[in-house]
Amino acid sequence: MILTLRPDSIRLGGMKKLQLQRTDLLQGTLDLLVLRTLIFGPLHGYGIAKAIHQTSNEALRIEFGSLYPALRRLELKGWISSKWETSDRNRKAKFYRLTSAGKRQLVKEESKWEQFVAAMSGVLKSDPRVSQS
Amino acid sequence: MRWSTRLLYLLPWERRAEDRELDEELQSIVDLAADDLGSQSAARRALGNLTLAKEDARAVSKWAWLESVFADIQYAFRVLRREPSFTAIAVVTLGLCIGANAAIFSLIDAVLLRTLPVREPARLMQLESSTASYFAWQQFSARSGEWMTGILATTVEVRDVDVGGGPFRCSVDLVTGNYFDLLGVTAAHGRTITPEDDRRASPAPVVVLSQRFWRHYFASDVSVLGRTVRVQGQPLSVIGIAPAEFFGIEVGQSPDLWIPLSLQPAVFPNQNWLDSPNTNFLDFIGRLRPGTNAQVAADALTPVMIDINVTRLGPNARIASLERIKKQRLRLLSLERGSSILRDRFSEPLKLVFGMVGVGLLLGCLNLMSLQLARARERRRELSIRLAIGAGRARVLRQLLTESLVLTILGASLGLLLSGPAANALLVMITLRGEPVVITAGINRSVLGFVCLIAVAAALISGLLPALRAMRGPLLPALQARGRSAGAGHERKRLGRSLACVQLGLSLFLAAAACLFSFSLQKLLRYDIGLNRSNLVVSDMNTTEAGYDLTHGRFIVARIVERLNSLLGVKAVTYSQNGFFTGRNSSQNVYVDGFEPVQDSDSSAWLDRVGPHYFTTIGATLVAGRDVTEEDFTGSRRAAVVSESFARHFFQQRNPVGGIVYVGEKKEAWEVVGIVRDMRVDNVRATPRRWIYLTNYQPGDRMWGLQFLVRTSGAPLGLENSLRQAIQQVDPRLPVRSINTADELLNRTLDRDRLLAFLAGLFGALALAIAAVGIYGLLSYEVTKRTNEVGIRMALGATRSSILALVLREVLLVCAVGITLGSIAALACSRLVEKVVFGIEPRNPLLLAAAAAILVLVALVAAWFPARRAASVDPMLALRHE
Repeated sequence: MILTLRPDSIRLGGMKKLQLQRTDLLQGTLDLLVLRTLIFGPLHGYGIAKAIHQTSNEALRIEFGSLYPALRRLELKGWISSKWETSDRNRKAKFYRLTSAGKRQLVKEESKWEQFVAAMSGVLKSDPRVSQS
Repeated sequence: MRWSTRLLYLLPWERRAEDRELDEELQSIVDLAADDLGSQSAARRALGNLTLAKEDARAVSKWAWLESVFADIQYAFRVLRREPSFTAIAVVTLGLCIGANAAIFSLIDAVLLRTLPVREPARLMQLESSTASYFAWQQFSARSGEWMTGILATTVEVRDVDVGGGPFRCSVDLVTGNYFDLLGVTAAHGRTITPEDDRRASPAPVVVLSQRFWRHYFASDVSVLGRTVRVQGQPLSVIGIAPAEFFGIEVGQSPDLWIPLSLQPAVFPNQNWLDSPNTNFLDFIGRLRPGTNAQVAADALTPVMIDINVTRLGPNARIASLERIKKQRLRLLSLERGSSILRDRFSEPLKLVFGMVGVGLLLGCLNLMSLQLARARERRRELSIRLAIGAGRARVLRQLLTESLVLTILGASLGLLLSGPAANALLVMITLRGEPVVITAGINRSVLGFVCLIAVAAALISGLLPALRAMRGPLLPALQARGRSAGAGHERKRLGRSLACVQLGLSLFLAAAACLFSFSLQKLLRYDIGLNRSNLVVSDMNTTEAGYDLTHGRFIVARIVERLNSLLGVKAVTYSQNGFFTGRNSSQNVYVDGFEPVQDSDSSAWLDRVGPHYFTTIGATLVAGRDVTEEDFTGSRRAAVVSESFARHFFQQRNPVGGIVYVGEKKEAWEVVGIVRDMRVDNVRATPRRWIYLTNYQPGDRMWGLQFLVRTSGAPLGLENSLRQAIQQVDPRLPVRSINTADELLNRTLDRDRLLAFLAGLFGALALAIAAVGIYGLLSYEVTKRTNEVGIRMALGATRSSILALVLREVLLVCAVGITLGSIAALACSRLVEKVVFGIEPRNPLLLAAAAAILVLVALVAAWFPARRAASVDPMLALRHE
C-alpha cells in the first residue's frame, strides 16, 4: 500500500470528537516525519524523502511538492538549519540538520502523536455495544 | 515566525537572492534524483510539479498579502504617473482639505483636548472660592491636609522686566513655594522655587525663567544661572529654567518668569497684597489625595471658605451678609486640561470651524469622486480585460481602492506639511487679554492619528463608489467598444447630476455660514457702542510707575494734556483711569438715598475716573445735565456723571441730576451733574452696566494709571510717534505702554468673531470654487456626449439661444435641488450658531437667499463656457462626427 501525504488534499472527519485541537494534524505529521528522519544525521531534501520512504517499508511516499515547503517552514521556525555541502556522490546539495530547538520539538511532537495514536486505537478497539449504552 | 526575516523578504534584492537559492537547490535535487533514477526526465517525473513546490516554498517565507499590497501600490504609482494632471488636482484638493482639517484639529487638540504636561494632571483641582486672598490660601493650606496633598496659589502679572537692556513688559507668575513640587515639574536646568525661597519673613530674591524667555533673551545659555534679572527694578537671581513643554496652568498663556509670591510687596512697591485679607488676587490649585474625590473634598473645604469669609467681615457684619456667606459652596474644577479663558472663548468657534472644514473635506472628496467616476469610464476597457483574463472582482476592487488610498496618502502628506503653518497663522489672529496666544499646535501623535483616520475615510468616500461602478455590468460590450464608454449613459448622467446637487448643497451650506459670520462681524464692528470711535486715539501709560505723588502727578497730567492739545491734528484731549476695551475695571458699592438694595449685588456699580471734557471728547451723548469741566477739578469738589442704567437702577423715577451718590465703604458723597447714554466699553455683546464716572482727586487718593484719549481732526495715522514724543518731552521717565486707536481696541475684542468670519469666508469661497469646477466638469462631459443631439436639434431649426437655454436650464435645475438640500442642512444647524453670532437671526431667510444668489451666479459662470461650446456646435460637423 502506498500512502501519499499531501497535507492540503486530505481532510480528516471526526477530528474534533477526538479532542485533538490540531487542525493541521497532517502537516504536523509531516513535520514529525522530517524531524525524526533528521535525528540520524544531516540529509538533503531528496535524501529525506527517500529515507522516509525506506524506513516506512515503502508505505509512505512523500510528495516532493509537500516536503519542500515543509523544509522551508521548519527552517524558518528554527527547528532545522541548512548548509550547502558536497554529497557522497560528489554533488553539491543543501543539507538539513536538526537544531537543539528541533530536538525539543521532536520530543513534543512524538508525545502528541502517541496521544493521538492511543486515542485513535481506543476508539477503534472499543466495543460498539458499550459505547451505545 | 520571525518578523525580521519576513520583512527582509519584502526587499526586491532579498527576494531575487532567495529565488536563485531555491532554483539552485531544486536543480541539485533533480540532479541527485537523476543519479538515482537514471535520467533527468525520469527524475522530474518522480519529483512531480517542482514549480508548484517552489511557489509553495516561497509562500512559506513571505506575507503573500503584504507582497501583493506592495505590488498594488507600485502599480497605483505607475497609473497615477501616467495621469499627472488628474493626480495633481486630486492631491492638491485633498491636501488643502486634509490640511485644513489637520490645522483645526491641532488647535482643538491644543486648546480643548491636551492634558497639562505635569504629573498626574487628573488629580489637580482648581478651587473656585469666593475668597482668594493670601490669608485664604494660608487657611486652605492649613486645613486641607486630609483631602489635598497641598494647595498652591498663583497670580500672573504683566510687569516691567529688565535683563540688562532696558525694561520691557513681561508676564510674571507669582507662585507659592510648593508650586513646582505640587505640579510635579522639575527644572530643565538649575532648580525650581521651593518653600524655602518663599519664606514670608525673608523671601529669597530668585526667579525661574521660562524656556521661551531663556531662549529669546539669553540664547539658551546655561551660564545664565546666577545672573540677575530685574523685575520692576528689583534685582532677582536666576536659579533655574522651566522645562520647554511647561507653560503654567493656563492654556494659551505662558508666563515668562516665575518668582516667589512672598516677593510681591518687595517687587511692587507701595502695594502689599499679601497682608490685606480683602485683596482677592490668587488662583488656588490643589492636588487631591488618592482615595478621595472632588465632591468629598469640596464639601470638606466649604466650611473653611465660610470661616475665612466670616473672619473677613469682622464682628460687626450684617446678619444678612453672614446668612448669605453661610450658603456659599466651594466648587472644585478639574484642572486636568489646565484652566483656560481661551477654551471658554474658543471652544464653540473651534467646534464650528471644525464642522466647516469637515464639510469642506466632504466636498473635496465628492469632487474627487466625480473625477474618479470620469476616469473609471476611461478605464473600463482596461479593467474589463483584467476581469476577462481571470482577475477576481475583489482583487481588482482592492487594486482600485489602493489607488485611492495612495492618492489620499499623498494628499494627507501635503496636508500635514500645510497644517503647521496654517495653524500658526490662525493663532496669530487670536489674542488673550490683548496678548498673543502661546500654544504649541504642532503635529503630534493625536493629530497624526486623526489625519490617518480622515485619509482612510476620504479614500473610501472618493474611491469606493467609482471602483464599484467601474466593474459593474457585462464585460463584453466594454471590450467591444474599443475604449469608448458604452451603455448605461442615462444612469451615469443621473449619478453625475446627483453628485453635483450634493456638491452645490454643501457649498450653499458653507456659503450661508460665511454670509452669517461676516454679517455678524459687520454688525459688531458697526455697532453703536455709545461713543464716537473714529479718529480717537488711546494712549496707555502708567503714571504710578513714574513715582509721582498726587500733587506732582496732577501737575504732570495737566502738562501732558496741554502739550498734546498743542499738537497739530489734535482736536481735544482728555483722560480716564480705565479707558476702553482694556479689560481693566473696578467696581464699588454705592448708596443712594431712597434706594433699598434687596441683595448685596444690587449696590454695586462700575467705577471710572475721568478727566475734564471726557464725554464731549469721546463723543458720548449726554442725555441730561452737563459734561465735567476744569471747574470740577478745583478744590475738593465732587462732581460725578452716571450712566442711564445707573440712573434707572438707583434713582428709578427721580431725576438724578443734582442728586447725591455715596461711594464706597467711606460713603463719600458725590453730586451727579450729568447722565450719559449707556456705553459698551468692554464688551460689545454685554448688556450695559451701571457706571458712575468720578472726577476730582480726593485727599488720600493714590495717583492712578491713566489712559489719555486724543480726538484727532483727521485719520490718526502717523500721530503715534508725535504723541509719544510729546509725552516724553513732559517727562522722559513716563512709561507709555501702548498707543492704539479706539477702533483697534474694539477690533481686538472681536478676534473670535473675526476668526470665524475669516475662516467661514475662506471655506465658503473654496467651496464655491470646488462647486464651480464640479459644474464645469459635469457640463463639459454632458455637452461632449450630446454633441450629436445638439447637432440634430440645430439641423431641425433650434437656435443658438435655445441650445444655450437647454444647457442653462439643466444647471438651474441642479442648483435648485442643491439649494434646497443646503438650506435644509443650514436650517438644521442654525441652533448651533445662535450663541456665537450677533445682531442677526441664523434662520434669517435673507441670509440663505444671499448665499443662494451667490451660488447660482457662480454656477452660471461655470456653466457659461460649456454652454457656449454647445451652442456653437456646427450641425454639419456634429452629424458627421459619428
